[in-house]
Amino acid sequence: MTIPFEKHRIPTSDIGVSGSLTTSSASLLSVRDLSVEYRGERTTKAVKNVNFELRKGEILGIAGESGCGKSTLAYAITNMLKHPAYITSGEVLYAQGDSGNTVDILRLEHEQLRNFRWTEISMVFQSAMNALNPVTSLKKQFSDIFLAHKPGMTKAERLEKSIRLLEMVGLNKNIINQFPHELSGGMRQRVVIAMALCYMPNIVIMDEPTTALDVVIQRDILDEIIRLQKELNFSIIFITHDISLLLEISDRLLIMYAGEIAEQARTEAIVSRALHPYTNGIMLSIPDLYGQRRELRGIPGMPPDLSLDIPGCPFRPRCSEAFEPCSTWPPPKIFVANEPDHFVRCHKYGSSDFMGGA
Amino acid sequence: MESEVNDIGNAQTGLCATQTPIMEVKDLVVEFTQRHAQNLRAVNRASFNLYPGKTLALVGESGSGKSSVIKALGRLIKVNSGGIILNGKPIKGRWHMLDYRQQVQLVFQDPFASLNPVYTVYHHLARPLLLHGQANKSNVRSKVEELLEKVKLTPASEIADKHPHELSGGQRQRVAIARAIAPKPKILLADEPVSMLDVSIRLEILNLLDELREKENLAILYVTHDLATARHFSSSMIVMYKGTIVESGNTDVMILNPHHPYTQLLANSSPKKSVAKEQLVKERDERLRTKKGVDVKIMQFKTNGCSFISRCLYAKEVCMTPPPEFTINADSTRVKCWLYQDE
Repeated sequence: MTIPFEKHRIPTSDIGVSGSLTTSSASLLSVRDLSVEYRGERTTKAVKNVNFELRKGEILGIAGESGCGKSTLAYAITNMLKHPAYITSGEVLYAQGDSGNTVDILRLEHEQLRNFRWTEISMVFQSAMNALNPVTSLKKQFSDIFLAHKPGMTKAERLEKSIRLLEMVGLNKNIINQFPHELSGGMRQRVVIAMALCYMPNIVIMDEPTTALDVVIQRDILDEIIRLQKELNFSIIFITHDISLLLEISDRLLIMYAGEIAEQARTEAIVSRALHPYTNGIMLSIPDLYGQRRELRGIPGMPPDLSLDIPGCPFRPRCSEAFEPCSTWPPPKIFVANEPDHFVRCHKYGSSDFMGGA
Repeated sequence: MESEVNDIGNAQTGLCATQTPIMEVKDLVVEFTQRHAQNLRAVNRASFNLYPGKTLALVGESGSGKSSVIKALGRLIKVNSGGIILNGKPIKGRWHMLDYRQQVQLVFQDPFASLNPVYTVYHHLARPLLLHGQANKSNVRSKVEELLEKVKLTPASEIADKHPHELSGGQRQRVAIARAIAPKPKILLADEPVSMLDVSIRLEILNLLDELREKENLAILYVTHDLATARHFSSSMIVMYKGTIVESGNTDVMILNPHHPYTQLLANSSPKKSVAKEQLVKERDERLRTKKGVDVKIMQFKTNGCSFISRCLYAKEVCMTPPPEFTINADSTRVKCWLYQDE
C-alpha cells in the first residue's frame, strides 16, 4: 500500500548525530516511524508509524481513548514490550548527556538497557497499588532500586536517600517502614513518583498517573509533578485519556487515534483552533466548570478494531464531516503554516503539504 | 415552604417547592462496625429529597460516604437510623422489597463487574422484565429489544445475544442502564456511572441518562466526584464530606459561588478548560504557597468539631465545637459552616 504522507518522513540516514535533527536543537528524544504490533491469531497493529520529538524540559501530552495505542507507545519508547508485542519498525533516539551522542533505545540490550532505564528514562505507572509490591515495606522497595543500580551504596546511605526522596514529594518520612496498603491512593502515587525520580532521570513517562484518584488528590499530584518538574527540569511524557488535564499542564499535545497521531500541536493551538474532527470531538465532550452551559456531545461510535486493515481514514465511521476520499485514501499529514510543528492528518484540509495559517 | 428544617429540597430551586418529592430522606445514618474501634459513621444525618424528572448530584471525594448513601437507599446495607419516605409512605423494617426495588433501581460504577460474564445481554434484561411483570414469556424477547433500543444499543437483536465481554465499556454501561429501567422505576440511583469510562464516551452515557430522565420522568441521584458533569447534568447538588452534608443548593449557583471551604476546594481542584494558562499558573503557585501541610497531629486529634478542620484554610477556634445547623444564604444555598454564622 502506498502511503501519501511517505514523503514527509525524514530519511533515517539523516539522523545519527543529534546535530542534524531537523526540528529542534534541544530535542532530547526523537521517535521515528515507530510501529508496534501484537502478534497472534489476528495481528493487531497498535502503533503505526509514529513520529515525534520530546524537548528538554517540556511536558508532552499524549491523549487518546482506551485502545488507541498510547500505553503501547509508552512501553515501546522504553523498550519494555514483551511477547506478543513486537516493534516492527522505527527507532527511538535519545540524546545522551552533554556528549551529543545519540543512542537508539530499541537497540540496547540486557545490561545496557538495565543501566539506561531509571537513570535516563523512568516511568510512573497507571495503578500505583499494582506498581508497588504489597508484601514488602517501602524501605525495602526503595532499597531494591538502589541495589539494582548502585550496589555500592551502604544501608545507611540507601535509607537516607529514600527519606530524602519521600520528603521531596511531600510525604512524611515516618511512612518509610509502612506497607503500600497502609497508604491512601494519593500517597501511593507520590511514592511511585518519588521512585521514578531516584536518579533524577531526564525523562519521566507518566501513564495515567492520576486516573484512579479523585479531583482534589488529582490536583495535588499534578501540582506536585509540575513543581518537581520546574525544580529538577526533566521532561515529561504525560499519557492520559482525560484531555482536560493536558490542556492545563502540557506544552505540546499529541492526539492519538487508532495507533496514529491524528494531530500534533502546541496546547494553546489546540485550545484555540483544533483542526482534526476527532480533536474537536474530544474538546466538545469536556464539560466546562464555568462558562456557558451548552449542549454537550460525546463522539458516537467506537474506535476501530486495529486487527483489521482500515482503508482510508480510521476515524471516518465516527466522523460527521467525512466525505468521499476519507473512505479510500489514508489522510495525508498536513502541516499548518505559521504554526511550528502543528500538523493534522485529515482530508478536510486538502492534499497539499501546507495549509494557510490562522 | 414546608416547616421541616432539614428539608433541603425546598432550597434547591423555586420550582421544586411546588412539587411533591418522590423520595424523602431524613436524618439518614449509616454506621459500620469495626473490630477494635468505635463504629465508623459513614453517613451522618443526611437529609435530602428527590423529585420526579430532576437530577440531584451528590458530590464528594472518595471516602466521603457517597456510595454508602446509594447503598442505603438501594437497601443493600442496613440503615442505623433515620427514615426513607417513598411516595409518602415511610419505609420500615422489611418493607416489601420487590415492590421497593420496582420503584428504586441502581446503576453501578463498574460495568465490567456489574454484569454477569456467563450470561447474555438478553438474560440480564429478561429477568427484571419477567420478575416485575413488565413482560410475559411470549413477548419478553421483543420487550428486551425495545429496551435495548431505548438505550440506543442497535441492532438490538444482535446485541441481545452477546455476552458482556463482547461489548465495550460504554455499551456495557448502557446494558446496565437498560437493566435498571426495565422495571419502569421512579428513581434511579447512579453511583459514578461514568468514572470508569473514557472521556469521549462519558457524555453519551450522561446524555442518555438525561434523556431517560426527561422521557420517563425519572428522579435521578447522580453520585460523582466530577463537578463539571454535575453542573451540566443536574439541577441541584449536595456536597458531602466525611459523611456529613456540608452544602446544598442549586448546582450553578453553588459552583460559581461556593460557600463551604470544602466546596471551594473541590471547585478549585477541577480541571478548567476556559481559563487562560497564565491564570492557571498563578493559581497553582498560590496553592503551593498556601498549601496546608497535612499535620499528623491534627489528623489524630479526636474532636467532635468540624471534620474538615485539618484541611480548612479558615479554621478557627469555634470550629473545634460541633458544626452549626445549616445557614441559608442569600442565594438560597445552604451551608453548614461556622464561617457563615452570625455571631
